Amino acid sequence: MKRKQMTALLASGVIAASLLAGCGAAAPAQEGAETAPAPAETAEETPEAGTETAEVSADDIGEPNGGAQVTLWHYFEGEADALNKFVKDYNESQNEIYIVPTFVSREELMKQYTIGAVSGDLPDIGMVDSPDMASYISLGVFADIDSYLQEWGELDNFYEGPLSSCRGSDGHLYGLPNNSNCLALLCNMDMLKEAGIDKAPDTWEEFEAACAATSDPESGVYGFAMCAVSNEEGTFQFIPWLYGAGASIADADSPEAVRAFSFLAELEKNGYMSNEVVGWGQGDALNAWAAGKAAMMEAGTWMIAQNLDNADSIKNNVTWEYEFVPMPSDNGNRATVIGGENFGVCSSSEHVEACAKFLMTMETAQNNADWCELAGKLPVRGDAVGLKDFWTADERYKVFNDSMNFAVARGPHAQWPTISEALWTAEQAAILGQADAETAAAQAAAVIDPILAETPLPSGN
Amino acid sequence: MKKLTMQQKKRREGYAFILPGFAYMVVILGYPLLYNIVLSLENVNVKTFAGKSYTFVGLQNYAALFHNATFLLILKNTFVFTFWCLVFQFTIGFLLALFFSKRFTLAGPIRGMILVAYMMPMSVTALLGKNMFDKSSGVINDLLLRTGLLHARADWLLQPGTAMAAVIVMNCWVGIPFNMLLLTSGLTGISGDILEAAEVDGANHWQRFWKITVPLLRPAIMAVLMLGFIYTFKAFDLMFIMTSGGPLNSTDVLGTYAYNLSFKQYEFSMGSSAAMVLFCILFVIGLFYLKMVAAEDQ
Repeated sequence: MKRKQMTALLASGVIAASLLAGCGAAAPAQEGAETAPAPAETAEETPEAGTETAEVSADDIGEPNGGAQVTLWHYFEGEADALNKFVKDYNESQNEIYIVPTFVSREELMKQYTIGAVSGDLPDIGMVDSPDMASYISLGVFADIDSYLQEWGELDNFYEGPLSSCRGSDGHLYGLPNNSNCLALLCNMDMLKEAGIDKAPDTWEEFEAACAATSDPESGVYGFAMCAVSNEEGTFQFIPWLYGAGASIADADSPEAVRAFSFLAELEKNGYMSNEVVGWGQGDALNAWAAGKAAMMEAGTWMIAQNLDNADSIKNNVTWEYEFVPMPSDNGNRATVIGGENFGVCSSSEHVEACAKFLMTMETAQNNADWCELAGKLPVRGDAVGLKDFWTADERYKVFNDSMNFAVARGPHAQWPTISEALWTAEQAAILGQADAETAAAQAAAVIDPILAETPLPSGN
Repeated sequence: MKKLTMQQKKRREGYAFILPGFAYMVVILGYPLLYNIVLSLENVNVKTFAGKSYTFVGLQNYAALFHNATFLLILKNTFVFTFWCLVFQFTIGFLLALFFSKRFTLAGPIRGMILVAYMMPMSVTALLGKNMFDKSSGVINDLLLRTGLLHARADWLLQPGTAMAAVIVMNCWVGIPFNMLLLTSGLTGISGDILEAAEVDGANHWQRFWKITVPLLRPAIMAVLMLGFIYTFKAFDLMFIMTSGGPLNSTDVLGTYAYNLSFKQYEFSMGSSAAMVLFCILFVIGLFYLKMVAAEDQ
């Protein structure tokens, strides 16, 4: 009996301790901004994938500089060290604010913004995926920093697509873009050549022929892999097909849009693409491609640095020659989609101006170029691209950099999540054969049209 | 000051004793519930939230929900999921409880091992399910192919019908030990003397089971079914992790749908309304359960 009690006591002790530990991880956000306590000593060097939050130590971000402590939430994993280094330099360069970055997983971060909109528990500076920003601006999560940015006088150098994702419905800016990316077609040239195709496909027709030549569904090998999963990633990967067909979100049931839905449905039906794509995130599609299970895939800019060049599991597998080409065109239409992350200052911050100043420092042409080279992403301002030959010398980055000329922004729209859900739902219905392309397109339009009738998308998309 | 009678004193003491519990209920349960009810009667969403431009809209959200084909599908999914889970987990759990009530060697350890499934966090079970039912790398397809029961890989989580079956299987994996546990404790409460007496009187196995075991086990059976209904009906983490409610909402249930509305679409009031529908159904079941317990006590 005694032993049982001891065990129970121990067990409850462990549970209580883990609860406390859980609180500790979230604590920096709630601490008073005026005092600047030293950050936790026991922090890990880099956040590990899978952990919800990770703290940093003074070694990473510099000793407290006497300024007010402000928190910065981000979900950079591979780039976390570089971000900390940048923050350290900034902390040492001034003493108005002392920035403490915290890694929060993307899902968790989104939940925190939503809850924080009600409770006010928000970081001072927050990172956000560009299509989500409009919703958070509408929810009042981010502060209007338009006047500071206008005064800065650098905005003309920014690309309109990424910058527009920081705009609220009032036209004001609530943040700055940090990096961009887009999608292109990644081809296993060995597989294509083996099938008698020497050149990566340039049109939908050529693409379909290449799929037909390389697919062998019996042995689990397909011509094409993409991500059609039921979240924003699915919509992200669908947009190049939708706009490539000559359609747009505003006319999701046009004959062109139906063609986009039916084209993907046919790929699945003909055995050129596995129906598993509806469960695949972009990483899963890449894994399939890297395992030789797909000849071509819809790949993002970040995959070069994060996976192809640096992830052992991928790097060691890919023994073949590969090539990036722009997304294939249909009837002369070619499209891809803009991705990327923004930073904003949260409305509950007591140091909005100082935080906005930090954002502007982060996004000077030089800093943006340095950052995007390091992260293997695309700069958000035109004058940054010219500072390095990184995006023009490497053929792979050049494809993405050039593709930005026909890249479509998602939104911005406060109800983007609902629009996005309608798109990936219709795409899944078409791919799984649960609805024919016309019905799927009509269902998407039935959700999207009333939303856009009330608040249209900005012109240009 | 008037002297309190013994009875009054006792009653006051009683109130004092329930006060902490009552206060806890008001703060932890009452307030969020009221807040949720109010929210479900307004039109708080991504457009009206920040400007506080939301208004009282009465039952409009509920009307909209019940005119929404997706919501009706999800309501149906929730009942289908709950019904089949109860059928399988109760039947199999009951059979296992009866089986392990025979005291054979290793009965204890094996029963203990079955309970491991119940102790596993639902998120782990859901991940296991996601991997086991995977089309190309899942162990289930692999086994079925090897044994020749299937000639091509089945889609499991990629088609609406089979995805629902898969989440039901995973939920039963947890539900069976739970049912077994409660029914076993009920079975141990039945005195062996009664069964022995019946046997002496010439009752066969079947008669003993239906005329003695089942009637005596009635309170335990009802409790298991009610609790099982409540636990299953408010399922969330299993679908959230294993299928994300997909494909095409086929495994979406009220819990995941309400979460999706509030946290993904920022339709806070609609999400609250969906959650209220879930609450009301469980509330009715709960009342029914309490009434039944009271009846049993008399």
